[in-house]
Amino acid sequence: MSTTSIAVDYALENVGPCIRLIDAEQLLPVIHQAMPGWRLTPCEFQQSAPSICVWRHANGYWQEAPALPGGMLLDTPAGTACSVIADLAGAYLRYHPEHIGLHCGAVEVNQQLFIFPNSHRSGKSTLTAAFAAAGYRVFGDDVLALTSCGEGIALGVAPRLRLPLPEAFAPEFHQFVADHLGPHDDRYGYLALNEQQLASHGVRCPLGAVLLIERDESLSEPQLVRLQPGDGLWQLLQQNFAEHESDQALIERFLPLLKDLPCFLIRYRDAYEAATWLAAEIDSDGLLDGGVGMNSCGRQTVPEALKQNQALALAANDTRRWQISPVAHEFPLGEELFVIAKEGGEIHRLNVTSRAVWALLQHEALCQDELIDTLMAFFVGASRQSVKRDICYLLSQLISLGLVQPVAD
Amino acid sequence: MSNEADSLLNKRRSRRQVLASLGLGAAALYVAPTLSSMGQAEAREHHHSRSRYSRSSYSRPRYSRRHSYSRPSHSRHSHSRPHYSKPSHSRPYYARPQRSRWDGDAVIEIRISRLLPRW
Repeated sequence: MSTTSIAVDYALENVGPCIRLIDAEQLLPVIHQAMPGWRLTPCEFQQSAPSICVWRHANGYWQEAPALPGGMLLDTPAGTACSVIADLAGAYLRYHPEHIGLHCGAVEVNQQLFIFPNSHRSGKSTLTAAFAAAGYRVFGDDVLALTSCGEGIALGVAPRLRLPLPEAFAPEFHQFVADHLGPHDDRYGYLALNEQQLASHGVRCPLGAVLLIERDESLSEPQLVRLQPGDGLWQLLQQNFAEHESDQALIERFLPLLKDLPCFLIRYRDAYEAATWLAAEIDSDGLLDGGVGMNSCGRQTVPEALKQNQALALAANDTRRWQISPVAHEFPLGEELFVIAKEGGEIHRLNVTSRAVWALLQHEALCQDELIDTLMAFFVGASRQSVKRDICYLLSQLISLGLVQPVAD
Repeated sequence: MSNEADSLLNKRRSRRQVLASLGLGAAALYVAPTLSSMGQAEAREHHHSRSRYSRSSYSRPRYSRRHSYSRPSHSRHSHSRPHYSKPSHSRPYYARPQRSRWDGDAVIEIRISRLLPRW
């Protein structure tokens, strides 16, 4: 005995036929609500099954896709929509290799995009939703397509929040989420936003700033620090979906964008408070024109870096002279330098002082004492002991990475 | 002044010029040198990644370990796909095999790693 099932294929705007629902048509309105700005329409039945298939399952839905070679059981319609949308976004980026997919939240502020390219569970979605609650248009909370000329393209997917919201969140934000809660289960919920609140698929907007985010429960009010452009580049190099592009290709694409793009760190306790505070700062302070002090120290403190690997440090009495090894590529950005030692190799990031050491060793072979003397004569604010300790450690790192080599006397 | 002292002064001058060519002003505030490598950064950020080259992952639903999951006893590759028959009307139908792809007796847990959060 066999049972008959209904299979319907759907075409996605700007992608084409890419998903088949089998006995799962009740999922369609949920997907539509989760990505209201991205058209998914029935299409002619495909002889060759689309890459994404969803079956109704006794315990929910069963999904298969290129990224899920073993299939995946999903127990709720909202959860299934989320998984399907992840694969639809992947399909879009495979279909449009001219764009880079960024893993970030993105909101439009004064006709420019603020993007938050942080890692998972950093609060991207909450901050994105908080900007929506504060009246700003959302371009996405997970994926943004980036053109070669620095425009972000919205996919049309609504932000998705982890539920329940923490009680400590601002009452205004709680109310906004309650008023706009779309498809949800007990763990996650999509926000139902209109066209003014959520950019439709294909809408473009130039990038205006990179905003790295850090939650800190101890803060009484948000803090904003201007970072090096290298901080933004470093984050974008990690938070992207361009799995088949080399780091070198990516850095060459990102570099021209990052040269003129301000990068900030915002630290906050409450996302809604941060969004409204930042919006006021932007309006009053010319934030994008350099109204915030630069943090030239970078985000990783030296003591932490040193603690990580003290054992590597070069002996203090080492008298060998060192020079920079030939490297494939150097990319200066702001005060910093990004280096790729060999074709296809990993990227190294040198801050302002490491870059100074790099330039000195490129100029002539020096021993560590000569380096220390030069830095002590040029810079102020550090003891010889601490500079010596730092240079020993930096040289050790450079040696272990093969970026410097000893010179025979 | 001896040649040796001249030479030392010239070396110091030339090294200052190297630093000045980077846009650094003399008497700039010392900042401890740092060197980060993308390999290290990726390992920190993406310990859930499926492959070394996976830079980031799309958000997927999160599951708790207390749930149990089952999938068809037959593997995806050995299981013959349902045969889709072209219907006379526009809506396509297919005949599901006698045993559906998830009605198997055996229960194979989906590896938890596949269900870990990617968000």
